[in-house]
Amino acid sequence: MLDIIAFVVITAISVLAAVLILVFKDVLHSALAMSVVFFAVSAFFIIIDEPLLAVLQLFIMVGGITTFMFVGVASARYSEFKHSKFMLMLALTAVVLVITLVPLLNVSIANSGPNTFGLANIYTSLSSSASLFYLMLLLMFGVAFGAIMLLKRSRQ
Amino acid sequence: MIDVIYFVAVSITLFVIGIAGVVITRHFLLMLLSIEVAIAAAALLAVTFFYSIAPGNIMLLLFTIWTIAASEAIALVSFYRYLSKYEASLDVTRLSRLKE
Repeated sequence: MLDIIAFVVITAISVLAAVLILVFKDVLHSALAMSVVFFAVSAFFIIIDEPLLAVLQLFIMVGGITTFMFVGVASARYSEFKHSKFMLMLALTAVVLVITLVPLLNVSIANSGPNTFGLANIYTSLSSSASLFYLMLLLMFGVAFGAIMLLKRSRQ
Repeated sequence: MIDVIYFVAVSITLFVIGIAGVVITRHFLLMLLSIEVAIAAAALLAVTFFYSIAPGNIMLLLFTIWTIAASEAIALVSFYRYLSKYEASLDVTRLSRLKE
């Protein structure tokens, strides 16, 4: 049950953050939402029992790319932008999702590996020192983003 | 236990949101951030596929995906700094008329 709850929560966070990229009007906030999507994908790797890929995803996508974007965007001017076609995006996303996901409902994939992922995968992945990387990256990420926000406020 | 098909569904959902973001927004930077989301969804689908359906060495494919994402981020920040320096609009419909 706990594995299903974790999967649903991570799915909700990732989808919400992906939508929020287009909702936020400050580019810095959009970059933060994108980093949350990367973080959620890394958490999915933990559930799939691939702790090495999860840590690499943290290093490259969250630690490298997002920090690079933060520094690049924060050192330039901030841009305000109004999205006039947000409802069009919702309609388009819903239509394409229905078209692509409905055929998946009754699909049985012929596989040679494991077909399901459970709580044991999460425990074994997190116990292999991946949780330490998550904790450190969260702390460093929080400090970096807080510093940029403080810098932004002091400039204003 | 979570079936593998749900991971496929989540990756398709993220990919569709990323592509929808590219289609609907005219903001240069947000278009590229949406492409990054689509690339992350592709990485998730690749890992799910390799782990469950065809177990093997995925590192080469995954590093290719990450390299593409990193290259795009570098191009993104470079263009953004360049456009900010000359105070150009980030609206892609106006960027296409820069010569006028």
